[in-house]
Amino acid sequence: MTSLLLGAVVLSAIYALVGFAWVLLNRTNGILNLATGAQLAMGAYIFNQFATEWRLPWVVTILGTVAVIAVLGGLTHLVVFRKLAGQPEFALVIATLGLASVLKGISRLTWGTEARIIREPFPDVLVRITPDATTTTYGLLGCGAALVVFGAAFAFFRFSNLGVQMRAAAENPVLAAQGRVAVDWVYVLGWAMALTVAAIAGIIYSYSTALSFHGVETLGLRGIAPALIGGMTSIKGVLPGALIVGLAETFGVKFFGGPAQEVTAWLVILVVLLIRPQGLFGEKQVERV
Amino acid sequence: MTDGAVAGRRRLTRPDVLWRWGGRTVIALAIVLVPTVAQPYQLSLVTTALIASLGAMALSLVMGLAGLVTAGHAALLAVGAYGAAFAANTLELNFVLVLVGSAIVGAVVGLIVGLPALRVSGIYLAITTLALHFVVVFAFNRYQTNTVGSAGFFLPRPTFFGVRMDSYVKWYVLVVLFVVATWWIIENLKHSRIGRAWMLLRDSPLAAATQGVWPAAYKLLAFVLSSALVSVSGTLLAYFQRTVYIESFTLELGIQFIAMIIIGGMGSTGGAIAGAFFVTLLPTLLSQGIAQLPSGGRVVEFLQANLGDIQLIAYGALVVIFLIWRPDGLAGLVKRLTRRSAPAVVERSSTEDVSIESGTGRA
Amino acid sequence: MRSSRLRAGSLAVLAAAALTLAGCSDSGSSPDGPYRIGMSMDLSGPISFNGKPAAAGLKTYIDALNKRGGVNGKTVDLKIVDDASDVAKGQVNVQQFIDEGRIAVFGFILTNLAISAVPMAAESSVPVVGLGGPANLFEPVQPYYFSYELRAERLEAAILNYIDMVAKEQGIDQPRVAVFSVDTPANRDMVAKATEDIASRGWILAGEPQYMPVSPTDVTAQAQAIKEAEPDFVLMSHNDAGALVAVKSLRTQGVTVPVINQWAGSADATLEQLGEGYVAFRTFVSPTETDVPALAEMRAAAEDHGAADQMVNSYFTQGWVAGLIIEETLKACGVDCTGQGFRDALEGLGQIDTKGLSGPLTVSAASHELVNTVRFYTWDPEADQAKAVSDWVSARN
Repeated sequence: MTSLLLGAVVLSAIYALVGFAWVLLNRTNGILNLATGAQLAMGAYIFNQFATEWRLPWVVTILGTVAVIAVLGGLTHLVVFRKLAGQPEFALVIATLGLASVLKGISRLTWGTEARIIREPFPDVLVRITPDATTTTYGLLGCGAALVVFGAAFAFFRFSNLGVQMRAAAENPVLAAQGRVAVDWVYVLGWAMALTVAAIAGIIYSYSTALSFHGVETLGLRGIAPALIGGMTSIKGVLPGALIVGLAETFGVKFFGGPAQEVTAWLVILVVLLIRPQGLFGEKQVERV
Repeated sequence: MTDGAVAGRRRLTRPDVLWRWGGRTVIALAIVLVPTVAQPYQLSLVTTALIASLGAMALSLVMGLAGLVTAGHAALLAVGAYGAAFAANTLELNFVLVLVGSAIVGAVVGLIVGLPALRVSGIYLAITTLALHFVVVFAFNRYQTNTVGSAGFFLPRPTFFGVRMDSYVKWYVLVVLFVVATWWIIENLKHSRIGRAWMLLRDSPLAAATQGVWPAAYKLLAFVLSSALVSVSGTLLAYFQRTVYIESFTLELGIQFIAMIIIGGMGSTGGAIAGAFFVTLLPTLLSQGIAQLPSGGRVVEFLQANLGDIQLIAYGALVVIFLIWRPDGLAGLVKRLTRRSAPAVVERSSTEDVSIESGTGRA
Repeated sequence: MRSSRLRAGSLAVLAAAALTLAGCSDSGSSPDGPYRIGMSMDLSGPISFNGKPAAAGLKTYIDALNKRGGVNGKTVDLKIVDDASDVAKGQVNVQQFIDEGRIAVFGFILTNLAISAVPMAAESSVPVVGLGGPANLFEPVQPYYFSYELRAERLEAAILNYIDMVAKEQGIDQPRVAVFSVDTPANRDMVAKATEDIASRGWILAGEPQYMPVSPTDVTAQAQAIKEAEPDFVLMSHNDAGALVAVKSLRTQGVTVPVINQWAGSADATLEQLGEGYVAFRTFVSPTETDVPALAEMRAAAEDHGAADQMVNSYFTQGWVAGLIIEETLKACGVDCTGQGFRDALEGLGQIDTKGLSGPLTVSAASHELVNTVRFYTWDPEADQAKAVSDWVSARN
C-alpha cells in the first residue's frame, strides 16, 4: 500500500511538471497549447541527441538543451504566434495543433519511430525508503525536479522584477505595454520557460520508461488534467491537481487493471468539467462577452 | 464588419449570373462524367473523398462558422461506425434506419459533451472533445474486444430504399446525393438568421451580446448539428468499407480534417469539399506518382521513404501558414482570382470581404 | 459569395476529375508482358517503421531477380502502393491491382486490411498473401488467402514451447508462467489461448494475466502483481518500447526470472538494453545477424539496388523472403500465369527452403500459414550482438 502511494506521488511529480507548462502558457500567453505533448517529446529528443548520440558531457548537455529549447520557444512566438495576434482564440488553438503535427513529423523524420533509451548519468535502481515503500532513483529525481521548479517559479513570480512584469503582461497586456513592459519579450520568455519545464518532464519520464514520441506526447496531453483541476490559470493549483491525477491513475490501475491507465486522466477531466470547470483555484469563467 | 449581418442582397449583374450558372453546369457535368471515365478503384477513391467531404462540411460548420475548436472528430466517426455495426448486426436494422439513428445518436453525444463545455467557454470544448476522444476510443476498444475481437466488425451490404448497394457506381451516386443535400442545407443555414448569428459570435462576441444572441445556445446548436453529420459520415464509411475496427480512429484524423478546412477556406462549404478532396487524394496521387518514377535519385528515394512524415509536416505547416496569411483558404484565393474577371460581388458576409479589399490579413 | 463558392467547388470537382483521369493507368495484361504483382504496404502510417523495410525487402529481391533475367524468361512488374494501414486505402489498392490485371497481392501489415481485401480479391480469383490475421482467415482455410508471417495467436505456443525446453533443462516439472501482455484485441485472443494452453500442459498460470496499454506510463501495479505470483517465467507480448518499460519495471520490483517476448520486441537495441534474462523470438532473421550465410546475398542486393538504408530490421528479410516465395511460385506456375494459377502453384509448393533466413516454410491445401517456426534470441555482451539461443522452434502445439 505504501509502495502504491509512493508510486502515485512519483507519478504526480511528472504530472505537476507537465501541468505547469500548460498553465504557464495559458496564463502568460493566453494560449491553450495543444502542442504541449509534442513539445515535451521534442525536448526529450533534443536532450537525447546531446546526451546519447553525441555523448557530450552532462553540463554541456543540460545547457545545450536549455539553449536550443529557449531558441525554439522564441521562434515559436516570433514566427507564429506574434503574427496571429488579434485572431480569435480558436485560431490560436488550431495553430498549436498545426505546430504539433509539424513537430511530430520533424521528430519522426530525424529520429525515426523506434523507442530509445537515453544515456543515464546514474543507474536506475530500486530505492528503499521504508521496508515496504520502494521507488526508483529516477522517480526521486522527478520529485526533486518538481520541487525545484515549483519553488523557483514561486520565487520568480513573487519576488523578481521580471516575474512581476510577466504577471502584469498576463493580466493586462495593453496597460503593461504602457507601463514599459516589453510584452513581446515576456511572451518569448513564457514560451521558453514552458518548453523547458515540459522538456524536463519529458526527459525524466523517458528515463523511467522509454523515449518514444507517441508515449511522451500522450503523457503531455494527459497533463491537461492537473492543470484543469487546479484551474487553468493557477500555478499553485497544479500541485493538488497533479496529486489527484497521480492517485487516480495508480489506484485506477490497481482496481481496474492496466488498461485503465489510458482513460483515468481523461475521465477525471470530464468529471471536473461537469462539476467545477474552473477548477480549484481558477476564476469562475464568465462566457466572454 | 458586420454589415453582412445586416445588409441584404445586391442586384445581380450579367457576369454574375453567367458565372453562377456556368459554374453549376460545370460541376454537374463533372459529377456525371466521373463514373463513366474512371476505373473502379478511382471511383472508390472519389467516393471516399466525398464521404470525407461530409465530415469536412460538418467541421466547417462548427469551426468556420461558429468558431469552435473540436478534437472530437475521430470519436464521433467511431460513434457512427460502431453504432452502425451494432445496429446492423445485433439489432438487424436496415440501412436507412441506421442512418437516421446515427444522426440522432451523434446529436445526443454532441449535446451531452457540448452542454457542460460551452456554458463555460468555447475553448473548454477543445479540452472536452479531447477527453471524449480517449474515453470513446477506449470504450469501443473494450466493446470490440469483448465481442468480435481483433477482426473487428463486418457489415452486410446495405439496401437503400430498395436499391442494393453492390457496386461502386451506386455508392458514388448515393454519396453524391448526400453531399449535395448537405451542401444545400448548410448553405441555407449560413444565410439564415442562425448562420448570421454564428458568424457574429465568431467575429465579435460583444456585438453578438448586444444583439441579444445567447452565445452558448447558438454554439451548442452548431456543435450538435455537426456532431450528427460526422456520425452519419462515420456510418456511411462503415457500410462502404464493410468493416469497423478500432485502429482507424486516431487523433491524427482530427488534424487532417482541420487541414481540409483551413486549406479549403474556413466558413466556405465548397471550400470544405475542395479541402477534403485535396487532403484525401493528394497522398494517393503522390504515392502513385512516386511508384511510377524510376528508382534511384536521392530525392525520389527520400520522398518515397518518408512520405508519411512529410505529410505530417505539410499538413501542420499548411494549417499554420494559411491561418497567418490566408484564413479564407483556397476558396478565398479562387475568389480573388475570379474577382479580376467578374467585378461585381453578389453578397457580402462578415470579414471575408474586408480582408480582401483592404489587401491585408486579419487583425 | 455563393457564386465564388460555387467556383471553388467546381474547381475542386474538376480538379478531382482531372486527377483521377490522370491517374488512369493501363489496365489488363498481355500474355507476353511481365508478371504483374502488387503490394499494399504501410509506408506512411502508424506501422510504417516496419512497413517501409518490408516493402524495400521485396522490391530489392524483385530488382535482383529481374536483373538476372526474371523467371521463365519474363520479368516481374512489381507495384508497391501505400495504404497507411487504412482500410479504405487498402481496398482502393486491391481494386486497382485487380483492374490492372495483377495476379497476386502481397502485404497488409494491419490484418484488418487483409480481412476486407480477401472477399474482393477472391471474387476476381486473385490470391492475397498477407501477414497473419485472425482465426476466421485460417479456419476454415480460405482458398485465396495465404500468410507469410506468423499468426499473432500462435506466439503463445511458440513461447510456451521454448519455456518447455528451458524448464526441462532446469528440471522444473510444473513451471509457473506469468502473462504480461499489451492490451489489444488480437492479444486478448492470444492471452485466452495461452491460458488454455498452460492449463492443458499441466502447468500453472502464475496470478492473473496482466495487461498494459500500447504506450505504458507506469506499470508498477502490474509488476508488483507479477512479483507476488512468484512465476518461473514471464510470457510477454509487447513491442520494443513497451518491453523496455515493462521489463525495467519488473526488474525494479525484483522479478528476476526470464522474460520471453514476441517478435515485435526483438530489435537488437531492445535485446541489448534489457540484457540477460530477456529473450525474444524472430520469425525472420535480422540483417545484422552474422551466422546466416544467405544474408550475404541479401545484403549485396540491397547495396546494389540502393536499399541498404532500409535494411534496418527483420521486416526487410521478411520482404526479401516474400520475393523468394514469388519466384518459386512463378517457376511452378509457368509462363501463362493467372491469379488462379498463382494460387494453385503456391499451394502446391509444399516446402520452401529459405536457406536459414527463416524456418522452413510450409504450405498445403490444409494450411495456408507459411510460417510455423520461430527462433529465440538474447543479447551476447561479449560478442556485442544478438545471439540465437534456440534452433527453429515450432509455433504449434
